[in-house]
Amino acid sequence: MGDENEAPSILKLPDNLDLNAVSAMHAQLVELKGHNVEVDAADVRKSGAQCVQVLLAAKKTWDADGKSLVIGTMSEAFENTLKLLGISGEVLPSKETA
Amino acid sequence: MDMNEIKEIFFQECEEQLTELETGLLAMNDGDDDPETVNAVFRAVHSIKGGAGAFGLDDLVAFAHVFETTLDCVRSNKLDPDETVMKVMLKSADVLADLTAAARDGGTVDPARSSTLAKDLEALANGQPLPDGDAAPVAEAPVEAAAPAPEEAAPASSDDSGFQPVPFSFDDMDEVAPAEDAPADAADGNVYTIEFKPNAGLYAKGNDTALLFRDLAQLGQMEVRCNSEALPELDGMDPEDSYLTWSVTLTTESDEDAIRQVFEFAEWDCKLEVSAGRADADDAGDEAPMVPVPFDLSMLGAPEEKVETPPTPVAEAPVPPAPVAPTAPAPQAAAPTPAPSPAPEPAKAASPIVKEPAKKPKVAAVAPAQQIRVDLERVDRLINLVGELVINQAMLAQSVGESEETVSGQGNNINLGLDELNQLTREIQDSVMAIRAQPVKPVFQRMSRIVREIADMVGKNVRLVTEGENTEVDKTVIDKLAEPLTHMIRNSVDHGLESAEDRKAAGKDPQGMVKLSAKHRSGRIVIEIEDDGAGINRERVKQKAMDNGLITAESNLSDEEIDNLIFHPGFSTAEKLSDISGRGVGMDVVKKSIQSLGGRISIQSNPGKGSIFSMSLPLTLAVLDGMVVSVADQTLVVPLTAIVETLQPEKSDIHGFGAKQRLIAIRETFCPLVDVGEILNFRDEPADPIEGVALLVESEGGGQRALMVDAIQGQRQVVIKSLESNYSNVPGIAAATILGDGRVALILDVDMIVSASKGQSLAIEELKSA
Repeated sequence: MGDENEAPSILKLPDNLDLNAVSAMHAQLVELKGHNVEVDAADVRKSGAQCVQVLLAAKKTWDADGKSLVIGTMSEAFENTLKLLGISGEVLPSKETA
Repeated sequence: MDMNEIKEIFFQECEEQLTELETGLLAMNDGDDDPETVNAVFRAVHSIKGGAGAFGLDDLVAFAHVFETTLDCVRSNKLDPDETVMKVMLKSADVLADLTAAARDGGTVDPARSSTLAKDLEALANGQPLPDGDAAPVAEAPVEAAAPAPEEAAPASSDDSGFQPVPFSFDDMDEVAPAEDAPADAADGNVYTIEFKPNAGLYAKGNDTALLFRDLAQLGQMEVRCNSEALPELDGMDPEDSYLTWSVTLTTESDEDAIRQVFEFAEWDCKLEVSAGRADADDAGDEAPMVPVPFDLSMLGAPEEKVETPPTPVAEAPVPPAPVAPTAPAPQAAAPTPAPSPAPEPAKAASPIVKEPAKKPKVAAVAPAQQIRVDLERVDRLINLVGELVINQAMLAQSVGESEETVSGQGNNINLGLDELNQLTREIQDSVMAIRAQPVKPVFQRMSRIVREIADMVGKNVRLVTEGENTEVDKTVIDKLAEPLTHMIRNSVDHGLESAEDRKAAGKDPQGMVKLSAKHRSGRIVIEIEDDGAGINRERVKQKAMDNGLITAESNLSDEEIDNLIFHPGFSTAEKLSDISGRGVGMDVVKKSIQSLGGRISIQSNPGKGSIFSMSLPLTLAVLDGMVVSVADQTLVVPLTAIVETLQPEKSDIHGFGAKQRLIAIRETFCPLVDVGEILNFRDEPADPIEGVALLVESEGGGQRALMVDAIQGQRQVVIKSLESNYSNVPGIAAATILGDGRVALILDVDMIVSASKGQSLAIEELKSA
């Protein structure tokens, strides 16, 4: 699904995805609505469940809009958090799997 | 509840965990090899670490982490908890306590001290010799087990936990965790299903599901299922709200308590259900979009090992987008993610060592007594109110008594009601006092640290034995006990005990012993500090007292009197002021602080064998049962605990003795008769004993006296009002109270009266002129 032709916009996540980052991240994603998005999580050093929650909500929205939202490169810390929270690649696909 | 309050609770709980830790370590030090003891110690450190992580207390987390890892080696029998290991552990517990205190009060802990200990702990965990050259007391096996550690050590990057990188991470745990031991774990471990529904408050207070799960993962093997059904689309969501819920299946050797402990700082802000067993497959089916993700510990501490793993394990089975569709159980099953049961991964077949799972009994969870935390101020307010209730009840009783004639018809009913009220008031009061009663254990445990530190400082080998640490006493008393106890313990180790050489020469065990005991005795708590040292050097004490001009060479003092000289202000026999006890605080200060608690202190010393310092303290500072008496038109209260019996003296019982003394014959013995009115200067001339009543009292120091009063008014529970804080200290008077008629009555300090009658209360001052 998704408009394969459109080059994805890159959303670069900051290194600290804690409670303080969640609103900004939400706002950025709302801005990007309607575009294919590749989330760059390479620098993420610390992440909390709420940011993951925003990503999941975005994924839901993007799916409904027929757009693609994938995780590009991700740091190990981020990957570990996803695992800890039980978020598989199925729910939040990475670039390779999407 | 704001963040500070939560933090406050965290620190309170830290106190409890530190107590647990110390108790467990001391038990282990004494040879307790019960695996549950080690587990309890481990849990204590683990809980502190978990909570500290939530508050970003990095120093505390880092140290607790190293400590915990070493403890885990002990727990898994990789490390033998011998003397060297226990010494490091006990010191580590001290540092952990310091770090906790520093995190709470804002101080700092000597970084050199904690880092040295951290290195020692690491070395122990890795089966290496201690950095200072001590041979590492590690069993043979662990060396092998821990061998891969050094290479893997460094890279532990700081992950989402806020952990400082610690050089050896969870390697040891990896051995136990998912790899080759997994089947055994799965067979032996308990399986729990944890339903976790955080609310927004949890995140707002700095907690996080990821952090909680990280800690949970350390308990065993975990599969996590995330339910995002309630999650709205991006536009409709409040990014700071909480929509996701989780279902975790945990295979662990820990019990439910351990699981709940992980969530203990989050419990107000989430719905948590922990149930034994695996969630039904049907349930899982309901949460179709949730894919169970196997979790193993190695991804925490040494993630580098896992880099080959592709970013997501479902590469070959891409799922059509629309993962929210509730009907997708089939692809799930087909997905290469391992099935919920903890399938053994062949990846890490490295270690051939098989731990002894049998050594880790699954302890049946003992249901803990339900507890709530209550602000002490609220309890105090309640106690004050109950105090007023007691006074009011007494007033009412008195009014009814006075007007009984006028209501004679209904008198019986009123009296009956009054009796019931009396009983109820008493019960309420007892219950309220019980709320404040706490075991002396925490204070005693602090002393074990003091002993360790002082012993280290003065180079003595000392063992602290505690007894009766569950003896309960009012919290106000406990709070004020620590200081005098600390000083006395210091004194015992520094001055009381001889050096190892002297002890050997005297044919004693080179290891000195200090015994701290508590017990209830006749409505008071008696705390004794006993050492098996040289006892008080009376010659030296006497000499010192003479040098200081406290006594003259001619003074003829009994042993007891000489011993008591050490309580004289400024008296110190230390030749030079040592760093330990000679801080300008003498035993007189100890005596004063004990006295201000309504307590007394006495010494028994046996040359060559040791000394016993004995403190007797009231169980509560709030109420006492007293006998209300009149003396020279004054109303006084005599604590009931001191009274042995009351007598109406006959003329034939009274005998003169010496110039002014009188004795009363009680059965076969004679007992000195003390005129309370005269000794308190209420009257100049002694009253006629025949017209009064004699109260036979027993003082703390032993010995009986007959206190003569004019009349007994009755027996009553009185609320103690401090005279010191409201007026000033009055010799012979312990405190005051308010009577039923609103008048103030003084509470007699029986021991002081007895001592004064012996001329002892003024002994020190009088000795000078003797």
